Amino acid sequence: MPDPADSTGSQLILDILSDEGVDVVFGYPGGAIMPLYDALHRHSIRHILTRHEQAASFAAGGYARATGRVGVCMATSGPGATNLITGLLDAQMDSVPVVAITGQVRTPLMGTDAFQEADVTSIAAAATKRSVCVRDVTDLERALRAAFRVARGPRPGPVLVDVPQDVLKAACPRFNAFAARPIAVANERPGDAALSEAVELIRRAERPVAIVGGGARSANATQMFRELCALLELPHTATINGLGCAAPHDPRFLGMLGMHGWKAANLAVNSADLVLALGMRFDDRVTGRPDKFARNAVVVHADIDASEFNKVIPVRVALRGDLRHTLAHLLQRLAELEHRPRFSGWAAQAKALGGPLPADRTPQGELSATEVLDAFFAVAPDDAIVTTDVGQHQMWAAQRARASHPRNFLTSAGLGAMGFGVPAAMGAQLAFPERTVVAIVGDGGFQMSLPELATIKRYALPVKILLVDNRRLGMVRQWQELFYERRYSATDLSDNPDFVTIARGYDLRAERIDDAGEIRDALERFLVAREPRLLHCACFPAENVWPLIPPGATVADAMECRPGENLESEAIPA
Amino acid sequence: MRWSAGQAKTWKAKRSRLDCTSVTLALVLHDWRLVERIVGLTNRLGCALTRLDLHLRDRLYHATIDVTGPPDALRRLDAQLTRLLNDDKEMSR
Repeated sequence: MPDPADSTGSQLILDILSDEGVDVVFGYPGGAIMPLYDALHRHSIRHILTRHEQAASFAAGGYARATGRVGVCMATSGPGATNLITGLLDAQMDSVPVVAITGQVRTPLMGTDAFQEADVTSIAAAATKRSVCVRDVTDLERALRAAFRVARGPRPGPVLVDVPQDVLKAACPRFNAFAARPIAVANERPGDAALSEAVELIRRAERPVAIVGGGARSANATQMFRELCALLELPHTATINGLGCAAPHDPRFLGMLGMHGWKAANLAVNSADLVLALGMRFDDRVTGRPDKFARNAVVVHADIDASEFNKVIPVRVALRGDLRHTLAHLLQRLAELEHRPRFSGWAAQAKALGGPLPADRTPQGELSATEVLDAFFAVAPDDAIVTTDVGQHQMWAAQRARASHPRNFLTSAGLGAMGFGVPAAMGAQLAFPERTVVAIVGDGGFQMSLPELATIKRYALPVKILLVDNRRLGMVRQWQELFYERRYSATDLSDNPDFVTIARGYDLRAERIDDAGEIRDALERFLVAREPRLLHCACFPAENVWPLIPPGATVADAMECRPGENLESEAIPA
Repeated sequence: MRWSAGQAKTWKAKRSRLDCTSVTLALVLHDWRLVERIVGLTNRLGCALTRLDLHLRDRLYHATIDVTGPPDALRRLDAQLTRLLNDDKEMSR
């Protein structure tokens, strides 16, 4: 029988984390959370000290995205806790399982505007699935267990657990590892009637297109999705979070869908008479104008979250359930059909709707970002994990990525949070120390995560950073050029620092290229080394992302180059 | 308007006027703090909250909430509340 008071709230938290399978946490200490850090000092769980709390929550998200397991981050009260919020909202938007533990001021001080006090549970309420404050140590285990259960699903997401300092210090019984544990199981399946109706719609369709999203990744349904596409010879596309769910070299894969998606994907969906939407949520970057999206199609929507049905696009058949079960049932019913439909002819037509990706031709002697990324994806290892930051480089990378696994391309898709790429790569690298992990970043987002070079150095993480530096906030600049009559307000970063010198200041190897002729050799040196590296690509500033479906427009309005003229030649300061 | 999320809530549409509908929500909450989130969501979706009653009965909080708004916004509120109540139930276990 354990001593009724031989442990503390802090020790209990760490023991529960271990029992939940957590081997690494990302965080930053401070006053209110000191008891937890004191216990951590003696515990087997590995703590990664980031240089900013935001990086801790992004890194936990990167770890979770790469593994499918719950990522854990921690911070102190007040500013520490509020700095976690962007990473938590990122996890919320992309359905990533993260648990955040924050220190709080002592319970007698709560509500007194105490030093470093913030009502973080209220602040986090709109950025998480749930946020709770545990005021009594006897409720700590139940709350933490529930946090992990809710974070895992059925639809994953972030949960914040706020623990006042006196609760962290409070004596409590030692954790009993053999205590019964509630287990969350998501094996719901759609009803027979809905499945039958979906099969009938597929059977009668002439131009069906499947769209796969991040839900297929969460449900581990990639293989079944690929089997469905093969069984029906079905043309298919992916949202940015669904990249890697489709087999990249499948001839029926039409590429990424949406604002910067491949032309064939957008045109095929526009021409479709049936859309099979699988684990995706019809984000506005996918649909453009929702009333014009796939307007000739009936929609069959499969998702674990019923709240997604009819949220944006009217659905004919809603298949609520775990996507793996849904696809298993669909596959079985379709395989049993006497006259199973095959769409190879339509798939070939759909593929032919679009040509190669349009790209700007940069002036002679200027380095093209798309050329760099084409070269990178041509030589990157198949099992490399690629993270991106947010902006033009993200879209260029998403267009070109050939991820063979849905956890190999990690990006802040829904929130679009700059500063994500480097810390997310740290999280992925810690999960998979032997694999090649590359953060593709722009010069804007990189400067939001520069302090993490110290984290990379300290833990000897062989993260590689491919910096696409166009000395602009490129995506905003592009929109200013196209939609704001070239009023380039606050997007000029031509006074960027010398990134190579900065990296060397952190004792990291770094190299700069300015010329297309240097790309191949530089990439080889970059990828071969088993150490952290920065490859700084000084690119032409006015290269744009094409195609582009303007916001709120339709595929018919897609732009593939600058209207009526060639690439402008911007003056580039030396 | 149709609710399908189970026993934790009911929805009763009262009237339609100027493209707005008034509805009465009857929710069962494990954590009364969810009311704060519901108020926030109602505002975010461009609806108005005109009545809010909360009673503790049998260790559960029974909320009755009148909301007025465009049907589309109310439909989205329905979807968001479904999520919230599911997580609320799970967090209370």
